[in-house]
Amino acid sequence: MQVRAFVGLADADDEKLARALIAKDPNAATVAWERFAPLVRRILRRALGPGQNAEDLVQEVFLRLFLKVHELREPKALGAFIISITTLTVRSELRRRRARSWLGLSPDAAALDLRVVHPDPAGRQALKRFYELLDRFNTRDRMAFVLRYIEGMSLVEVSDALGVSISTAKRSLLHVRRRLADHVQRDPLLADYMTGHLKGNDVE
Amino acid sequence: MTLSNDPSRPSNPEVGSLVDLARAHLTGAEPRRDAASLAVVRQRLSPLQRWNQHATWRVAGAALAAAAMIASLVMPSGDMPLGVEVLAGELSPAGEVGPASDPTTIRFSDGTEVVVEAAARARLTGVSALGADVRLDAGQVQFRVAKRAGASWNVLAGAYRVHVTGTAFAVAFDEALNSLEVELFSGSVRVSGPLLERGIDVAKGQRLSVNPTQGRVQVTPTDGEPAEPEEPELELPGAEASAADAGAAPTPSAKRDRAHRLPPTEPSWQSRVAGGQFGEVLKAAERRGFDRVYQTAPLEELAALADAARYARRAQIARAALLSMRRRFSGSSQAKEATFFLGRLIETSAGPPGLALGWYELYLAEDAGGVYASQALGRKLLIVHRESGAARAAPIAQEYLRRFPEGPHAPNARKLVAGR
Repeated sequence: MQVRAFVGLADADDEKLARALIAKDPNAATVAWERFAPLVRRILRRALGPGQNAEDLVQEVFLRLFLKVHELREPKALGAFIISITTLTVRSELRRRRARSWLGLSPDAAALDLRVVHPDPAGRQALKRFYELLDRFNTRDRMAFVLRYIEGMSLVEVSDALGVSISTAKRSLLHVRRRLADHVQRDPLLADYMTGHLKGNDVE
Repeated sequence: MTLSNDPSRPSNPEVGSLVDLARAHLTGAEPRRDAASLAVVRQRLSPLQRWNQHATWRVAGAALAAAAMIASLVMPSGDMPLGVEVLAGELSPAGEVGPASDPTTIRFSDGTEVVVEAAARARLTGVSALGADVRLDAGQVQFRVAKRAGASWNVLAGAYRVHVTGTAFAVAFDEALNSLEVELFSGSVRVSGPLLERGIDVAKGQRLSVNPTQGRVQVTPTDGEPAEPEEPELELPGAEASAADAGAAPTPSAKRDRAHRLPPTEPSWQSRVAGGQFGEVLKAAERRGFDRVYQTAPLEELAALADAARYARRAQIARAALLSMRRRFSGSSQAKEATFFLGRLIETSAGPPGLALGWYELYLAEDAGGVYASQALGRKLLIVHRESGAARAAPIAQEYLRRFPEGPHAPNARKLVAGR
């Protein structure tokens, strides 16, 4: 079931919506959810990888948004503000996951069946393996890669979301690109998957 | 598609392809849960906003949270998260309780009551229509969960999870020792966590004690004394063993027998492989003795060892594990899949293509509809084309297109068929 957006605010631009949220307009939360929840959920999933139940974190992002929106200095920048909160939430979650891993604890029960993500076993495994490789990078580098390449953000948006300079974001991206390409090419599982997708010149 | 001209794509084609995979399959769509999720946010937000205004959210004998009414505007009552009422004590902005000098009592709209004992630290981390998640950081919490269909309550204490459907019980967690005690007054619960990876059932009249530091799991009757260490102990076959017997008509000697001591358990090989710990799996197999593993290990362990060895490029070990799977568990789906992986192993080890081809053909003969059928036929197509030429490969390409028109090797197959 979809949340029904309220006529009026639903058509408002981000600035008006931000002001309505700050003024605690009773309809604003629903409109903000309808407008931004898919974006937030998508970033969370793409940042954390398949098999993760992102819904609790989506709620966490919006809870923080509703509590912190009065701190927003530029109401026009509501979207960037939400992305920034989402990025912080991802960083917290990745730190928590790493801490659990260091302590030797098993993954949360929220790690779900990957079959819902990709119906093809090879694609499913490739996706899982890809995120296992991303797990090798620090949180900032990983987020830079996810936001820039998987989410398709500009360099300026990436640096804003991460709270770093553009040159720092570029360095992160360069580092991940180089190492990831190396990891992918040396990984037998991914090499197997790639064979069918990229090596069209096997048959000429 | 040209990958390198788009600045928002990695120039490496393999990485670019994986990025495409992630983009295509990790989306933001979740229409079924939208309303429920927003309602949960509203419900969590309501006390937090009150906290911001009044510094403390204290409700005594109050009506159900106003958030529940807001939620009812956007969703049918059947999906509405349970209402929350604090009968005594305080709930902080983040849903935290304590440590306080007096117990805190929380009642949910389905009649469930939670009492957080004095000095305990707990947190309400989520409320749904079916129940709630409570994280216990330290101390003791008592639950009386209302019985109703589909109810789902969880107590999270450290890495432990107590899953409840309808019962009365108490949970105590020692943060420093990471130890857990669960005492059942009625019904049953399932507990999982350290030493209990696959879960253990605890029934009415039982007390479960888990101490990972000592590698110790005990289930004792609540009306009896814990077993004395010098008494004979029953070794359980695994941490998933049920403790149901311990609650039925205890006799004095039986009470002592119900104390179980388990050796410290290690993560399974499968979970280690899933976590990328291939080297750990190989070391574990080496400690046990590879030959012994090949001859006696269960199928799941053999499969995990084969995976770990393949990923770690230990071809001989992988080959031996895969052959053992085929020999000892002939007919199982994993044994059939082992056939395919034997072919892949030869290819990735630059072995004779004809040998790999043989394994693929055997796999296709044994499991024509198997999960790797598309890949096996595709690999066969590539090998035959490379080794014997387009004319010999064309019939295989036709078969591939007939069976897997959208498969990963379909573009190659079409080229071959079109070139005839």
